[in-house]
Amino acid sequence: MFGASLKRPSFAAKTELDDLLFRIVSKLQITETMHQDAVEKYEAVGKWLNADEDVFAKLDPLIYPQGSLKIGTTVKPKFQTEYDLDLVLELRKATHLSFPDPVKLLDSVEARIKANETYRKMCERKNRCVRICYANNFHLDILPACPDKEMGGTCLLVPDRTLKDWKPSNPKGYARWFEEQLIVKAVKMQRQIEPVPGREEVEDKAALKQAVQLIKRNRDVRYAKNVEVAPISIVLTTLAAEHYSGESSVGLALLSILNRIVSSIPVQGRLRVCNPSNHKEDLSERWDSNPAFYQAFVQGIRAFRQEWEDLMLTTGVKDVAAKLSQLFGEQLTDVVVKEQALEMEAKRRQGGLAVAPSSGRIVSATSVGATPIRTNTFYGK
Amino acid sequence: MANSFPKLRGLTPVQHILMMQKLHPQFSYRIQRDAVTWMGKLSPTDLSETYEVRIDCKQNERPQVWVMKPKLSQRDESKPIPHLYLEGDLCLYRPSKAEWRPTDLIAETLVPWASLWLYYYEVWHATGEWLGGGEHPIKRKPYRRLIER
Repeated sequence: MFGASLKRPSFAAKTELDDLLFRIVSKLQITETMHQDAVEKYEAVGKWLNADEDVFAKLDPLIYPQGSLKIGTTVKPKFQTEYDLDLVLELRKATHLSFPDPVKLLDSVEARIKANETYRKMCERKNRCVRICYANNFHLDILPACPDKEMGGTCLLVPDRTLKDWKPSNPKGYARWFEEQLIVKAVKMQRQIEPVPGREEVEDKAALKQAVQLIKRNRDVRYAKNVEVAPISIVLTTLAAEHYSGESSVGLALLSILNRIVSSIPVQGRLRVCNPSNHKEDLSERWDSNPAFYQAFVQGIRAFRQEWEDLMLTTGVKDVAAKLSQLFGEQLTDVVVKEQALEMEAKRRQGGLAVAPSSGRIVSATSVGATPIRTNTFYGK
Repeated sequence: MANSFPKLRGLTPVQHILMMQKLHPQFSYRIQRDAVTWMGKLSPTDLSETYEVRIDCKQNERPQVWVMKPKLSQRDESKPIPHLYLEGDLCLYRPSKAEWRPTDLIAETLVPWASLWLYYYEVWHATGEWLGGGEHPIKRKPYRRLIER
């Protein structure tokens, strides 16, 4: 009489899954040591530029991080050993009018860097930046820029070699926007929970940052055989931040981000991803000239959404690990599952574990009402 | 028949039953002539399956813990499931170390250990490694010794 009721699956935050995801992300992002090393390296480049009395010293150059290095979402590329680290070289006392030919600015930055014996062999010119490679570690992409006096604020103009023209940019504005999405949304959602988390607490293990890193990693895995069609990081990062709604569980955050991205795909025409710090800039403009790339994005993000929903409903470490392997790589998954188990084992040896009533769930020994796990030795073949 | 109620050396069945009810209320029990059997569910982490576990406690015998559902499975045919007795019940402690004695409450020992065992069993399935430590006995008559003091 009542027919089979259609039950909508309910999704709950899973501590152990979030822990595995955090471990995955920790393996992918730049280490603290490497980060410090990068800071030293780019500050040294800054000094070298500043030491050039004739041109650069007068322009008051300042080098600072932008992109994933700035917002904390670096991901180790799958097919190269070096991280891409993006930096802005802002010539604070210049205007784009100081360089009637924008390519000249790129050339003079390159020339000055190459005047240094050490940098000469490591230096490479790119469309909008000059690259310095530190083998097996990272390369620094240095993007020269002049303040955009017309737009004001943190707006910049950067030379583009191919277009032989200036392009607007606002890396500081973008980073500010991203941090705002992260803080404001997370704090707003968690305000219902007492006590209200502090800014640093939210930033520390920010679910949005982890979600961005997982999306980028999945992109690297998904399009491994078809790298050129893969959506670019800035588009994915912007979409994730735009659609983030403040969850503190990275599993749930990613689920809602993917759901919202998929629902925002228009039936006709294409999705437009604009630079939040400059709405006139379409970050996804290359989808216009390459509809196949757009199709690849749509298919990929829909598949990812479905796979993520499946993962959130999967039980059994083996099946969860199999799904994670597919999404983020087998080796990486194997490492983090083992790492988690070994940490559990270490806690057990210290007598730090207990079993919760009713579920038999393994919890911390300090949990109220749980039965401490006494020392034992699994025996038998 | 007069007094065939199970009596474990050291603790009475009632003590076991009460503590099981207190610490693991999801377990139900059944008393037979000289044995108590508990059935209940364990799920070691929020990623784990939920397992139906059975504990048999018979007078003067070592208690046995079984996984009823889902059935335990091998990773592949060549590799047996680690830390199981020949009968197929879980090997949760080392007898010679006296980690479990008849004076120990099942609720405080075997149940938490079974949950841990299930966690490492799942990790073993995922990675091929038993990461929960443990020892493999030297081949000899497996269990007669276990109920000795």
